Amino acid sequence: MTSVETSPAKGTEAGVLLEARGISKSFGGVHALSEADFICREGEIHALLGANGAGKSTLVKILSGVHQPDAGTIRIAGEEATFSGPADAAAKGVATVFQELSLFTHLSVAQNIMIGHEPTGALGQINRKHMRATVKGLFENLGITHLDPEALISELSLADRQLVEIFKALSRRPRLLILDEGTSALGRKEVERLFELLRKLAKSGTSVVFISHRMSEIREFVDRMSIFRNGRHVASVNASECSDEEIVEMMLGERVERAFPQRNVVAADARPLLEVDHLSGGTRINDVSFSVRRGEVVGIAGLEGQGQGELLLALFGAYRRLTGEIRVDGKPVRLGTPWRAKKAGIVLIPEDRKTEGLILPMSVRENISFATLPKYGSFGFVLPARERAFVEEMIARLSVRVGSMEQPARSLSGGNQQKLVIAKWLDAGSDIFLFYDPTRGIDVGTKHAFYELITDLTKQGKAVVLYTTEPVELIGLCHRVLIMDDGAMVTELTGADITEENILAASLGLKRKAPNGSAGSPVNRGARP
Amino acid sequence: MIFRRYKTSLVAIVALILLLAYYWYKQPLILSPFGLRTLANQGTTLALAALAQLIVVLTGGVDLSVGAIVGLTNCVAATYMGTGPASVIGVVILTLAVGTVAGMINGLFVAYGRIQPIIVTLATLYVYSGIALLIRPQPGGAVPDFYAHALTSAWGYLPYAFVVVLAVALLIWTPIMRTRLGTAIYAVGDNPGGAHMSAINVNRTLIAAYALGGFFAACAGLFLTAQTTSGDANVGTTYTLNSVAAVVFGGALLGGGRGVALGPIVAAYFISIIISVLFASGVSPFYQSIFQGGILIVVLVFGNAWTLRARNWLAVLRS
Repeated sequence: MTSVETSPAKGTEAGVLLEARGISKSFGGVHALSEADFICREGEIHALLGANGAGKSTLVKILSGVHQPDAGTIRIAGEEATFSGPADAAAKGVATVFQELSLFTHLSVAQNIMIGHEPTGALGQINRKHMRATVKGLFENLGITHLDPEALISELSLADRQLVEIFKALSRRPRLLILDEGTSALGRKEVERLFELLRKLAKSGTSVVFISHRMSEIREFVDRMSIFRNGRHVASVNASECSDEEIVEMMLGERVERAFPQRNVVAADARPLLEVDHLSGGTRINDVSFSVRRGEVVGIAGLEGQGQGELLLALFGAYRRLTGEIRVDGKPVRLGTPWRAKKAGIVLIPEDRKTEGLILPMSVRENISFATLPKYGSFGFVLPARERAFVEEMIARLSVRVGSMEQPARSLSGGNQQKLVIAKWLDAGSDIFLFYDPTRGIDVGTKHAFYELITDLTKQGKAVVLYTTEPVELIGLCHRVLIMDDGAMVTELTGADITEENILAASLGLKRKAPNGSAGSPVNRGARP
Repeated sequence: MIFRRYKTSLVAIVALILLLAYYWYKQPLILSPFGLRTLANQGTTLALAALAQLIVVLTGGVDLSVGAIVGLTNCVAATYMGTGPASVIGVVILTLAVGTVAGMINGLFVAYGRIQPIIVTLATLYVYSGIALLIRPQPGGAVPDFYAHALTSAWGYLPYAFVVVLAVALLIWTPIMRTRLGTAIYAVGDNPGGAHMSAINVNRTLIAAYALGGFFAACAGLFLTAQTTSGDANVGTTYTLNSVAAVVFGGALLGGGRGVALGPIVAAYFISIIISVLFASGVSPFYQSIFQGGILIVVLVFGNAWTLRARNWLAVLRS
């Protein structure tokens, strides 16, 4: 372990390892962080909390050298520090475990942990024995017995991969260890073990900064928490001195007001258009059942990465070997490929419009007419006049801002790109629309256009499934909201129960008394497969 | 532990054993000293070219200039080798240097030019072939007997060609792959972003890998020179695509990050011998290409069937 300086430098509080002041960062005009402060003391475990988009991840990326701040200063043990990149930050004692795993799947556990600083002999040969011993020593120190240093990463479970990622950071003996959603793949027991391990580290003087959405799981393990909201630092509190309610209150802050169109009234006798029965499979869909009626918007909520994306992909046929049944209009459909889903009348507005939604180098016209080409063709040839007429109609209907329909999709703004994705499917004769976070990274005006569009779709008798990371959209648009946790539906909220408090509380797994009486009806969780 | 990494070579090993068993059944003479020597000489150039290809493929690239470098180094060696031991040693070193520099040039364009490896090496393929033609406009040249003998002869049942391959694999390839550079080559091919995050110098790793690829291609050129005792600027052409085939057949991922030397070497012998086997079993020369390709496809499909177990087609498409 590197020696930890105990004498504080000028102007720094004793025992403070990291001090970030006035950190600002914006991406393409959107403020991810504005003048945020953050202080981490030596040897403490510090959790960063905040709703989606609060700026936690941006802060972590700045502290670990991935992003450079637009403004603000960072001091480590009183000395001002700037990081040119992750390697530089690591050299200065800040090691980070990222959400996106940075492991090498075909290399061994030991090779991954020691990469870049392997012990070598006189001829540059890696001393494998020494390397194994070092890794074993790291494991033993922290009581890990089940990991084989020689195992290949490709053979490990996701949870073990995360452990390897953590050890990879630890092997450089950092003074500050940052875990970005380090527990998202871990089960309860594994989280406990990880925190035991972190506690040992903290005792030896290493500071740990930790991002997690699972507040209820981690509270008992952390010393302090900093709460962020809309890119600003709200407060830092001792974990033992704050109740769940107070924290949720701080995370939410004042309400965001946004105008939503009048919701479509679903006829009382409307039949379910999409029915999902005990659907399991993919990487984490666990016994999901729900239905959507004609004219209805059903929201899928929960913390990020709880299986919402997988569920939409599964409904669109991206996964094979699903168990359970999916019925459209009462008839069971066999899904398994996107083209079969399209035939059954299901379309997906995917998560990443750039890779899954559009073909960026191709023109606006081609992107819009792709999915419906046979319609304006004759004997297999596209009739350009008909195609152009259709594209023009779509551009007008969705008010896409383009110079010409021949310009490449790449040159459009995010909001207009998203409109193209929707235009592509709008006239494909589909009745069921799955939206994956459709308004992410889009300006408010365009967002409103999407709200209108979704409402219009329901007025035409279509069914909409909406996953969004913005609770206001769930409240403003949805007839019902289903909350997912770890691949399963845990709570259903309807009507007036759809409030931000209820959604957040249900997402965090808190049993919180809602102002409206009930906190929604719990959905039976199926047994794990 | 050893087997984990080497099991990717299994398809090639089983295929070669089956092929040799069938060959032996058709032509028992292959187990004689002469037969073994012929087998060994037939496949060694491609085995060395496969190593050249493999090290580039491990980084996630592909080297279309492997064959051109084999041809270029073949011309350099056959043209300048002379007769005395001193000049032979000097020219061998010169030839290895030429190959290494040619590979390094590929690497520089890939790393700093950020150009697709397939295009960079397609362009240098023409350049290197052109230089080979300047050195040796017509096939010809000569090498001293002792040089040819040292590489292609045999000691009883042990062909020197096998010794050459083993020496290159165990004394050059393996030690290099066991340095930090070796790990970095795998890491860069496996997850370039992760490698960058892990403080690996990605560009330097790429350049080193391509330079080493040039070095191994020069080894192939030197062996080819001993085998044919002459230089020919066009002789290398077949080694480019066959080396890619050997590498994939030998269990490496074209996307990079996975593969060991054993599989591609074994696969190189398989690919080189198959023509003789077809000849021995009386397949008309007109059908030989069809059989050769067909057999490769069948073997690869068997070897790859496991990929299709994935649950998500996106994962299959991206693998």
